Order: sequence, then C-alpha cells, then structure tokens
Amino acid sequence: MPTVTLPTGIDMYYETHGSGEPLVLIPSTAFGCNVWYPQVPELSKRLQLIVMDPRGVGRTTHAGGFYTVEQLAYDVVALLDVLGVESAHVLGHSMGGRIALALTLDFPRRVRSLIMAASGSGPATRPDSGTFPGLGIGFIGELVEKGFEKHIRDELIDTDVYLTDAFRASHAQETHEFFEAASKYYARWPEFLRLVTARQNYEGTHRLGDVNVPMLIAVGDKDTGGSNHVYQAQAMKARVPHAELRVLPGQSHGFFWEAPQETNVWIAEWVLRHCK
Amino acid sequence: MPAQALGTGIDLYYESHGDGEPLVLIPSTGYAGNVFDHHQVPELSKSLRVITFDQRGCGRSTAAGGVYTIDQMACDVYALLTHLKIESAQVLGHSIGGRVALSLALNFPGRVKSLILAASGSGTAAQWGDGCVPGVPWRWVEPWEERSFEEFVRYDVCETETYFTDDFRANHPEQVQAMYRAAWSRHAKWPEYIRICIARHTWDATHRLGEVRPPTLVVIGDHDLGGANHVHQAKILAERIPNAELKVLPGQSHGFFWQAHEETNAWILDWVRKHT
Repeated sequence: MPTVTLPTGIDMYYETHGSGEPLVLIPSTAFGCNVWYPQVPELSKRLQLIVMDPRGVGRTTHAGGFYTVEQLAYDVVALLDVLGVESAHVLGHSMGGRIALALTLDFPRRVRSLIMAASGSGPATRPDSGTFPGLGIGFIGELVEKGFEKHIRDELIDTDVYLTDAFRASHAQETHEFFEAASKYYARWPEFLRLVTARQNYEGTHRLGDVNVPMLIAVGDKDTGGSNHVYQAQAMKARVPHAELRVLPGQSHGFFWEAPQETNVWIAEWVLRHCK
Repeated sequence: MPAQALGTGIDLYYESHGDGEPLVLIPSTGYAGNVFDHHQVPELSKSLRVITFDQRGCGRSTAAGGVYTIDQMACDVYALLTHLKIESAQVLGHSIGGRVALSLALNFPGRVKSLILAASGSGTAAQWGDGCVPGVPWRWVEPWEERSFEEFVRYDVCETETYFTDDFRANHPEQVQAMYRAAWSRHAKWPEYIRICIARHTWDATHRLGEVRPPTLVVIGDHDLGGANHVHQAKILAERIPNAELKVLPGQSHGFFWQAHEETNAWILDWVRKHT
C-alpha cells in the first residue's frame, strides 16, 4: 500500500479498501491505521474505507516541530484531494475525533457526516483541571513515574482504560492481539509527546455550534476514567442539539476491539442512513 | 468573475490576471481583493499571474457566519489554489493577510514557494502592549463605539497616520480618498468585521515561527508604530523565522501599497523573480 507526498509537508501512509460510500477512519492518539483490523474486512464489504497513519505515527513521516490538531486534519483533507474524494463520512476515535471535528469545522463541504467516538472538543469540555490547556499534572506525573513504555502498556492492556476488566479476564487472546496491533506502529518518543501536546492544546468547543453536518457522538458508559469521555460526550451533545448520542452499555474506551460486531453494525447503519 | 464554491463552506470571489509565476495577494483586515486593483494588479500582472480574492465575510465572497479563524481563512486559500490546480505559489499577505499567509505556510508548506509578510505579525504573543493577551483589546473596541464602525474605518484611513503618513495625507488628499473609497466599497460589514478582528486577536503562531520553511521576506514601514505597532511585530517575525530577510521602508506607515506603490511593486517583483 502506498505512501503519498502531501502539500502539508509529510509523506503519508494510507490504505483504501472496498468501494461505495467513502468512510474515513482516524485513529486514537499515536495509533497507526493497522488498529482497524476488526473494522476493515467487515465495513469494506459495503463502503470505501480510507485509513491512514497520522503524522508522527508508524509509516507516515515525522515532520518534527510543533503539531496541531488542525494540521493533522489538513493532512486528511490533502489525502482526500490526492484521492479525488470530494466528500466523505469521517469517523474519529478519541484524539481522532478532535481531528475529525477540526476537519468538519474548516472544510464542512468535505464531510458528509461526522462520527465522534469516545472523543471531546477540547479543554472547555473536559472535567476537573482538564479545562486548562496543555499537558496536565496527572499525565506528566504518571508518564515520568512509569516511563513511556510502561505508560503505554498500562493504558492499553493493564488497566480498564481501553478494555474492561471482565473482557480482559475472559479474552486473553483478543487482549493480546489488540496490544500487539496497537503497539506495532505506536508513535515513538518524542512524536508521542508532540501528538499529546497537540491534543491537549486544541480547542473546538466554542465552534461546536457551527457544526452543520449530521453528527453522531458515541461513547461507552464505562469510559469514565482519567479524561472521562462520558462527561465530554454529554458536553458536546448539549452544544450540538441536532447530534445523535449513542451510549454503549458495558463498554470502555476500546469498543472497536471489545465489541467489534456491534460497533461495525452501528457504524454501517449510520453511514448508510446518511448517504447523499 | 464568479464566486467559486469551496470545500471550506464558502463561495469565494477571486480574480486571476496575467500569466507566469503565480503570486497570491491577501489583503488587510476587512479589505477585499479590489484594494490591489489600482496599483498592484495592472503592473505586476504584466509579468506574473496575480491572484486576488475577497476573504470570507468581505466583498463578493459569502459570509459563513459562526466563528472565524485565521487557519480557516488560510484553508480558503489552499482550497482556491487546489481549485485553480496551482501546485505552489508565492504568497504575499498584508497585515491580517500576512497571518493568513503564515498559517498557509505552516500547515501547507508544499503550497507556498515563498512568503512575503507585509506589515504583519505572528499572533498574540508577538503583539505590542496589552495585545499580548488573547482576545480583542479594549482599545480597539473603544473607537468603534465612539465613532460608529463606518466612521471609524474612514477616520482611520483618512485622518490618522495608521495607513498614510501625515505628510502624504497633506500633499495627496485625493489619493488617500481614492484608496478609502475603494476599500470601503467592498469592506467587510458589521458584524463580519468583528468576527474577522476576533480571528486576528485569538490566533497565535509565534511558537511555530521556527518551522517556517519557505524563503520569507518581512516588510515593514518605519512609521507603522500606531495601535498594533507593526514594527515591534515585524522584528519578532524576522528574528524567529529561519533566514528571513527584513526590509524596512523608510518614511512609510501601514499603507505603503498605496503611498509608495511604484517602489512597492519594484521590490515585490524583484523578490518574486529571485524565487521563481
């Protein structure tokens, strides 16, 4: 699969699968596009899936310097330009949702519908001290105490951030598979910090009222840890009354991997319901 | 010429004159592309392809409403260049137009062959006085309220040293009037003007100046010391942008495109040819 030179200053690794209504999948902080292994085979039966390693991740070049969420969004627009895709449905998971939101706000005519999965719009919709921009004391403290490698491992499989305790206890193989995929192309040091800095400094909350495309907010009801995505999902829903809020019972941050069948069903259903 | 529907959600009015090396001119706050019609377009289009346009909310382009941002205005230029199939162009921005050009260079470096920042700045951190705090300063709002918006625009151009020096206004009142009439005829109206000013005073790229890749010319009149003190801002641009060239125009204020158009056209042409 190809790497393409974009006018945004990077060489981006991307893949397209299937044909039909185009759907872009933007992954969570530091993830490469290989993490969509439960989605690609299923969804590409009916849709054209466009996936990529974001800047600083995996097989895409690391531009260095300062990263911003807008810049990551423009990378996606530039990719759509190269592919000749005039508009697409855009799904973003976690940080990828912020990127999808920035894309929607600055290029509304390129977005057929917006799916923000376990995501938020910026500091203003975060709980507690998260309302202040920049890297937070909890994040820095934990990272320094544990070290980078252990921090990632803890977040991915040694806590219930992504996969619930019950799932990890009964699905050791699936848990391992998720860890192997996520860590394979995971952003390295210090690109990881650049990405987190971009995420923690982006604010789109004041612009949520300008979202003029169909919007789906999805969140697991157990996704209440550190940055409490349930809280953020509700805050976004309050500001975008036309948005649809889907709460996934028993799910944490990683429902794409813990409940792949159900997740694929509602994604396909949403996209097909919002075809032009 | 018609307004072009862009993926950024607006219909952008633009004009393209001449053939050869493309040069994009981005005007000052609230101004439409027609401010370059009298002095720059006829002369520069003899040897260049000169592209002018009305920024969102100004003149013949549509006003999207909602929150305006500098990055979004730069995306309008990216989308226009993509529509025109221009892979890269030299980009000149005056005042707020310089911020838009700077955002374009930072986020779409592959589209910008060279950058001319004319009487401009990089955002909040490089602003003079209380402008270093995000948001429109009170001293900008005070004269709008005191004089009414329409009278403020006239007064600022025709009776202060903001654009034209005292000496020039005393000796060439008809030229000052002609520039004011052209500017006001397609000027952003209320409240688009406020949206644009808020975009100007909430954007910051000072922390990213070290990453500007295209060759950059920073131009400033040594009398441009009023409200926003562009001399202060230009020095910061020239210090922080790698290998930037600084050109100080003696005896000029903010409006050297109209007060010293022959000299201005000469150094623009000289710079563009050097970077073709």
